[in-house]
Amino acid sequence: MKKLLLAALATIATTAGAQMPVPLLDSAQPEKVIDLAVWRAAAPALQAALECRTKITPKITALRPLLTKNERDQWEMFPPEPFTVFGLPVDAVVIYMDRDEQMGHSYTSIIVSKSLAEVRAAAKIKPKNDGRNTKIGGLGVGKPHDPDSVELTCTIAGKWQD
Amino acid sequence: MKNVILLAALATVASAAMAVDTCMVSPTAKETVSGRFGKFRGGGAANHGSSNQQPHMHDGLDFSTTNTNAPVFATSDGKITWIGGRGSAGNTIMIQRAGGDIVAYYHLAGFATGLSVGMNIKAGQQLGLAGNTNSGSSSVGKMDKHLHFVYGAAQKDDVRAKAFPENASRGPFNPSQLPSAFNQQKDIGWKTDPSPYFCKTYAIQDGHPNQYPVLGKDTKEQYAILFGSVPSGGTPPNVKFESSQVAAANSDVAIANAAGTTAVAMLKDSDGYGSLPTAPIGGYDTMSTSEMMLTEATRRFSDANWNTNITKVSSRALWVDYNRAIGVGNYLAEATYRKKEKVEALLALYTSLKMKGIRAQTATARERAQRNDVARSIN
Repeated sequence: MKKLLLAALATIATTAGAQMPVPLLDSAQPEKVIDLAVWRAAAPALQAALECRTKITPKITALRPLLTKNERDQWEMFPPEPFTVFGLPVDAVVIYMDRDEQMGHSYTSIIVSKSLAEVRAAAKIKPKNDGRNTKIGGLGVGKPHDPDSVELTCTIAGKWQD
Repeated sequence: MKNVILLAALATVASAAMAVDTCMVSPTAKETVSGRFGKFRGGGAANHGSSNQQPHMHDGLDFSTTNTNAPVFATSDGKITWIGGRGSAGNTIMIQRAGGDIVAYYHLAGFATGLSVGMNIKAGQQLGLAGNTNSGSSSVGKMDKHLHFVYGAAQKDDVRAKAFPENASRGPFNPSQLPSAFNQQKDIGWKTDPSPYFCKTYAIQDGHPNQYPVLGKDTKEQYAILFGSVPSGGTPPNVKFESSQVAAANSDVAIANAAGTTAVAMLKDSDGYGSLPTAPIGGYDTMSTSEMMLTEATRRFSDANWNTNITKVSSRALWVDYNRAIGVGNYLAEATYRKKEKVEALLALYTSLKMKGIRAQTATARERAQRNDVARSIN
């Protein structure tokens, strides 16, 4: 799956005529291979967070090995085996959690193989809307990084709000 | 030889000058600000399109994009330090300028293709599209599409210099005088009014034209009004508050002065004016009675002018504090009751232990008496 994502990204980069491969995620962070057992234990909690059903807290022990202390409060993951959110295959996951609770949380699923309309339908987001509210925050959909991947983001607002 | 030294010196001066940040260009083509820096916002739908239902200070400039996904441009050269979803800020890009300051672009609908952390950016380069990600919890898509632009200075001194130019001109700062409450935000630095860092001034159209002559019709004019000279009754520049708080406080005073009244008369209870420092009610669960008394005393009487200030707060604030006092009284009563419980439990234990000895003595006496009875009956 990771190879597929990288291949897709390389294709996008070529098409766009960029001089370097387009990193979908933060290239400054080294990519870590996730242990399969760790992933399998964490996947249900991660799926619940990405579907905006559950807020990630330190009490969720299964996620601790994946969310180790990080200066940027941001974690990027490539699922080591097929992983779905709302039944859609997820190619990468980005988690942001502000330790100070000022800015809140963002849980992003990156989906390469589905269209925006397909992701909207699966996440039950109306065609005219940018997102929908959930019990814990807001679920937004878009293509912020590149036109060939859809990002589904669950946002839990922090104390700071515009 | 002299020429070589001179050239070397000039080169050093030139490279030092290069490292200094130049003034910034506009992040949007429209070049209009729809949300002032530091303006106190009451929250809600009537508040410049803000989705925030809570009163808050505005910690940046809102650049209008006429509620469209208009392109957003880099205001200066720099390096990307953050790109991606960032909670309440939505899709965010942060760029570090040559001098270390950070400029942040919030609520973007999308990023220009190919951008990533560590990449160098040129002034005027398109970074993405303005949007309304995230509008805040439970209000997806309800906020107007715009650019929320935040400036974070790397140096605390710089914030003070920009915020209070009249003090800056007096000479070097005494570090002990630096405001301690300036808000240093993680990854951003010391947030301050972006206006003085821009090359140009930008017209402010925030839907309150009656305030334009008072607070300024453009960004640099507001900066000059709120930070250049303190309005009568306003917050002086040696305050312990952050820039947005000073700007908000001085905005209210300037508006009141222009209306021929005072901030005290103009502001309502709903503005939060006159409230007393908040009591840490939650912390009372674990405090001893003496700690509670100390906390309450510190909260009310640590200010040397407490007896004067208490007469100025609103009746609502006094009622709130009265209710709080009842709450604290309940905590104190509970803590005293629990202490009594503990003392009584200890007394019960003491009595029980003492009774154990007495019971043993009684049993021994009874046994002795029985033995004596048996001995007497045999005799």
